[in-house]
Amino acid sequence: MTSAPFDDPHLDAAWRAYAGLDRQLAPGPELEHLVLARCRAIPAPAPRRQRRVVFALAAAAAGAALALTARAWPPLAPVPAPIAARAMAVVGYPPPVASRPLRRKAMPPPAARAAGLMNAGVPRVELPAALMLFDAAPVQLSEPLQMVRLRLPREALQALGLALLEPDAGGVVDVDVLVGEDGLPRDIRQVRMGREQRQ
Amino acid sequence: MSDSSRPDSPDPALLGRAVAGDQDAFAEIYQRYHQVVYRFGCAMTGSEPAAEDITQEAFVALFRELSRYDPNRAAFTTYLYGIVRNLSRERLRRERRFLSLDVLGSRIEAASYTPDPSGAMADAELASQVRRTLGQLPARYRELIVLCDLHGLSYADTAVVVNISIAAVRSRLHRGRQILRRQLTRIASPAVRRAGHPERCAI
Repeated sequence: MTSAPFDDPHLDAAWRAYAGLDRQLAPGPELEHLVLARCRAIPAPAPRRQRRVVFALAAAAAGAALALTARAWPPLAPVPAPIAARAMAVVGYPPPVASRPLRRKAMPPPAARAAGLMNAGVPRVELPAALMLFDAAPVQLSEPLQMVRLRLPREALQALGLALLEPDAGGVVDVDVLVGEDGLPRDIRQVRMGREQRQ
Repeated sequence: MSDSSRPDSPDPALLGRAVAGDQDAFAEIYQRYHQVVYRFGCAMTGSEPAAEDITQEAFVALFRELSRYDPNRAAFTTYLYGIVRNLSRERLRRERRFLSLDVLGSRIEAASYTPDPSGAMADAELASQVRRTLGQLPARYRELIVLCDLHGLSYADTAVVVNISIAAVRSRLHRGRQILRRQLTRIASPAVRRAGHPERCAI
């Protein structure tokens, strides 16, 4: 018997009618075949003790793998040099200026600039705005590029095939080298800096 | 009051065989409980196909997790009701649909071929009103009314199934019955009165 939740006899009769129909509800016989077939497809669950042993073995294996990985760190294979180092090796001259952050200084007064004192005493090299280096692969727009700032002796520029106005003047030139993904330079351009920055 | 159609818990030997993987023992458990599971799923979702899916999933879940059942914590039926309740709530959440009335439609049709067609029709109409109203209740009230008033579970068992306190079952059930009564009186009043007094409708 189900309990009727209503005091009203009409509602009580309605509830009993509903409960009577509900008691007749039953799934079709094909559902039993489906359920039992699915249960048959499930592998029998392992006993708890056996499961514990499996978990313990898995945990031990994972621990051993972690220990071996930690031992092999750092990896024995040499770490590839950063792209800037490879570029410097190609150009043939050490330290990149960009490793030290450039400090912006106050601009000289307009009168000094007008007098051309900014570069006084420093041998000058005039480079085009951008120069494609010889033997360099053409720049692909999709290629990831990196700009490296270097300070090169003037002779290095001469070695690159550039004609110098004053070959025996000595001195250095700040350049930006566009380096490709393979570490080889693609382009080079002169950096025009103030006098203080040169020092 | 207990529902006479609700089977008792299976004996430990049968459960033990089923836990060990005996298909015949599990088939016997299915035979004993499939109707209860199906009815509860039907009352919660209001759809026969959904109830079939829930019945199937419930027994597969039972087969997988039977070894975790602890008779000291709850009766087997309570454990099974808990599984079906969770599956029903999950399905209702997933589909977010209201109760459909396809179940009742087929029942009305079937009832029309009984020896007393007018009485059966009246019963079906009454049941239709109750089912429709019950289906519009929020699930937290509906599940308690179905468990306590339709399946005859005790407050203690219902509290275990729904995972709330007995006091909460009492108060929530009271509130659910109030809503159901009010809705049923307002919506289904003409049909209920007419069906309840067939002589007043007679010519």
